[in-house]
Amino acid sequence: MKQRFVSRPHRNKTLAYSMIGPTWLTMLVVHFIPISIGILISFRNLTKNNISNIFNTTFIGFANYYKSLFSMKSDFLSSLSVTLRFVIFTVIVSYLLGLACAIIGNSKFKGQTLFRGLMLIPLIIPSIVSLTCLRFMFQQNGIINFLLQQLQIIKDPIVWLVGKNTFYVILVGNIWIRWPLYFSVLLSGMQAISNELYEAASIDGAGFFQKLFYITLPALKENTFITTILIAIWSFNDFNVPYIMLGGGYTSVPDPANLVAINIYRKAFFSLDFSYAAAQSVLMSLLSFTLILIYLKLRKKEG
Amino acid sequence: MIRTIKKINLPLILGMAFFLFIVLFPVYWLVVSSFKTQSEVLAGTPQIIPSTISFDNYEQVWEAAPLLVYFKNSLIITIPSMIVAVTLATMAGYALSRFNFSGKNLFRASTLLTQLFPGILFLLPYFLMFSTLQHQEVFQQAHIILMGDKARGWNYVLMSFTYIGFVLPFALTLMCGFFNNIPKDIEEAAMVDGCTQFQAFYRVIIPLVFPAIASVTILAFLQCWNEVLFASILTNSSTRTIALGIRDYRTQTSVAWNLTLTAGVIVAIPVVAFFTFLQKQLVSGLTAGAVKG
Amino acid sequence: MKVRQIITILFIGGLMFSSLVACGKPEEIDTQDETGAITEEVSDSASQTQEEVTIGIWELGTETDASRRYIEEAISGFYEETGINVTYEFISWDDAYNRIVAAIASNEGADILQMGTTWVATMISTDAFVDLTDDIGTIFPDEDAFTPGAWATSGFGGKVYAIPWFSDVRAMVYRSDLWAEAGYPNGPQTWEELQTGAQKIHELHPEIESVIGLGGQGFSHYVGSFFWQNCGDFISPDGGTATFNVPENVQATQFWVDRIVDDGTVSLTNSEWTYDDVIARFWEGDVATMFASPAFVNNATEEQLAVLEGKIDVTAQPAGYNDCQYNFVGGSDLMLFKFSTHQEEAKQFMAYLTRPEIQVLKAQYENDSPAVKAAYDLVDMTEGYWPGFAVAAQHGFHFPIHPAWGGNVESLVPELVTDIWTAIVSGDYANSTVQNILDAINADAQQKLNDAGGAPTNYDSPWPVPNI
Repeated sequence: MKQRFVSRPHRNKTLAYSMIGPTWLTMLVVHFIPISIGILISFRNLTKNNISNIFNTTFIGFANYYKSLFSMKSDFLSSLSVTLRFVIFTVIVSYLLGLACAIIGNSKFKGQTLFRGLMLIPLIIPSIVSLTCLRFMFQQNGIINFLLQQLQIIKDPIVWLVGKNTFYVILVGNIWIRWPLYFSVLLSGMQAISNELYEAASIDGAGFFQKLFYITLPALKENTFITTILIAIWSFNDFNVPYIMLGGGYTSVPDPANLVAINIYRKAFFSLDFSYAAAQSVLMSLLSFTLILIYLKLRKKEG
Repeated sequence: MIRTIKKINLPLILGMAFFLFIVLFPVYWLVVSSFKTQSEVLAGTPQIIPSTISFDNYEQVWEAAPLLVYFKNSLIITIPSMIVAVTLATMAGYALSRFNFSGKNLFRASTLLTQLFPGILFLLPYFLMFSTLQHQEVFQQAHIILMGDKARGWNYVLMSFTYIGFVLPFALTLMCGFFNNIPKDIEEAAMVDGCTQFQAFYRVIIPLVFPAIASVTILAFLQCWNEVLFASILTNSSTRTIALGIRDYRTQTSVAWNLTLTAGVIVAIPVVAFFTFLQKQLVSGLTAGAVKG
Repeated sequence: MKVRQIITILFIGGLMFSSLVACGKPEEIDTQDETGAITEEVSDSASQTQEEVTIGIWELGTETDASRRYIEEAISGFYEETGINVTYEFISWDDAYNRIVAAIASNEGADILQMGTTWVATMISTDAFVDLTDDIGTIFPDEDAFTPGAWATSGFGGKVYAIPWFSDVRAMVYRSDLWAEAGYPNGPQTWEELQTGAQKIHELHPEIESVIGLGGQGFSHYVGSFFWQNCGDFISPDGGTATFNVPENVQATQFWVDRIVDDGTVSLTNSEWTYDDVIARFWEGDVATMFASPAFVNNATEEQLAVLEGKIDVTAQPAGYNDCQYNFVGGSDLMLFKFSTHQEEAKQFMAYLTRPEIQVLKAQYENDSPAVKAAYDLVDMTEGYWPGFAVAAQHGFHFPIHPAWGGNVESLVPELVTDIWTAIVSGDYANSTVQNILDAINADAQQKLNDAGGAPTNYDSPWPVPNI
């Protein structure tokens, strides 16, 4: 163990502050101040009636919060349930896809590097492009229905972009753009696993799935954990996927695809009830925060 | 798990085919559709392999909407944004990694917390802040001195600044993580040789974190190229970005898909090109998580 | 060493700074390849002595050659007459709402706003637009000067907040040769004639894919047209009750559904067609009757125009069982932001845009139907299909000008269409299908109306009445 002493440079506060300074300033202006203002708005009654004069609002305390949580058929709660299903399905399917692909990618074969590179394509192509293309493919007379019909999976074209199926449309879109992150992280994790472990296991007579569950997955725990949190948060807060795939022109996103962020957007921009939207934003953030804390605690417990 | 192929491994091949299909088919469809005419694109039975290749879309796409202007705007916003975001993230990441100062933990925590808030919460306040700012006399004078009396210049700055703000939290964490992986001995060695800490920083450390820098650069690029919500409000018609532009090929009731998809191809190309250029750095960056010490 | 630190920081800062400044450098404005505002034109030194007023207009949609030329011509004509400058900006439909709300919140934006007719009511309820009621008949033309469907969109409760600019009139566009064969040389005037005539054509010409074109995808204005032709409407006159499933409306919907399931004069392939597909098929000769706007001529090739020359006619859509003859009319109006500092000048420009000759200009450039009756009398409008659209414009009716309509209740219309077509195509169709679907949709609509706060004050939107 090398003996460490705190050397002079590491206490150079001026340098530290000057390096952090601009970043802190940017964060202040872009995030901290506007978010604080937003939170303040949630406690006042900024709606279409006084939107043109933002100072003409009164303090109404937790009224908007109460309305979000406890009103009958609360739009917030229904958007929350849509979003939770969205997140859970996204995480599960993306993980499975990423894991399977990582196993494949980890195998030695000709063109391995090319394959790995290609799998990253969904992360590289701007999501506005890929989601727009997927939307096009999901049209009633689009290629997805065509292929499904050719494969005899369905008889008549399914309507994807209107009605109940819109949830699956955004789910597929979100999974498509996110799963390669799992692939990439899990693959890099797998590559760090020493070959000897597998060889030893083979000698002991372990089969594919046993190696998977007893060697591979435990080693990937940390990577999985971090990526899951990231993907879960991003999906929970997601706005772009429904907006690009289902919105546009004057049409608003249909109810089955009404994620929390979209619902907030609707309340703010369509119903012009900004305070209500702000309250929902705060609630949503508190919920993410709580869920993350719970997740962290569970991880800690696992040791 | 490493499996050496000795015989044809059917599950492997099937698996590969499956993944290649789901990843590549949409891309293929995007590109192929850009070579089809409007009626072909909307045809009841789509042609998987097109019988004719037409470049009409690539001509029309520039006329039907001012795509070139959008492209230029996006570039003007993206390049400074990338440079500044990388610079700030690297410096701040280093500072967080190496120094202890009061407010450090608060800063880290609050930065991460901002990721939990949806953009819409602060979209309006942010917009209002800048609107009011624009009207202050002091600001207008400063603006005229610095930028000439051009509203557009201001708009570009605002957009770049906004996107820098968006990228920073994640970029910061990324850089900080990378720096944490680099032992402090290296700087100390350099300083013993006579550098100041800052010199050690940019001469020795930065080259070591190139993969992370490449990652942050691509992140910033994607952020600017991809962002729709804030751009729709903060830009005006002369500063609109390409993210908005791609949705322009429509009337109130119908969408010209052939042009939209062509624009999509055009929008995607720079990013893909940039990524390929940085690829070596990036791939090692993404897999470096497993490298210890 | 400290100096070097400072220099480095300055260097990096300078790099940032210079990149920002470089990008902000004023550039030459080349009006030919740049979008955006025309800066103030000063024609001669004489007009510089008085302060020039500049007002701005926001148009919705992508800037095309045609729309740019139209607005520039209108603006230069206006400037010559009044010396008032007008700048214009095009906002994409996708971002329009965001920009408008931001403008309202910040009290900053153009003076005049183009607004789609279905969203006028929602805009009115933001309380950010000027009440123009008192200016009707003085600065603006009288109510009678506008076509009925267009005028209906100007507001509700007797107040005017929007001046009709252009109409998206959906007339009946039909193959006069085929309908003449069927015994109706002037096209069908009633539903009975539509039904029997279409059956005749179907017999005589089995090769025609769909005698009547009713696209099954995307937005379907014909739902409204059929309701109104049977003297029904979507929402009660007081604005508080959803009425999608009242007997008249069920009967109206059943009428066009019967054309699919009983007669086959609307073919099943319609379920895959959008509005544009119907028009494309019409030009290919596969559709004999459709309900389209004047822009339908844009989708034809030279060849198709030549082949069908003289075989196409346009008139108002037929009347239903109860003698109501109405057809869908949409389009855009002009509204004035309250925060505008040049309201009088803006009103002048808005009035200028309603002049018959300026309305005709827009029709010529962009194929938009005028909203002003007198425009149809001008020479240029006696050519082509315009006279037919003029007739249809007289029978115009519009979606409810209700604050909860635009983007909200309105979204149920494509759902309704999709549900019906899906039921038919998948073989689940039964006699009770139409009633069931309308009941379900109506429940949703009622929920949306309730969520939006029920009937708006002063709302009064009478239902269509017999008019033939």
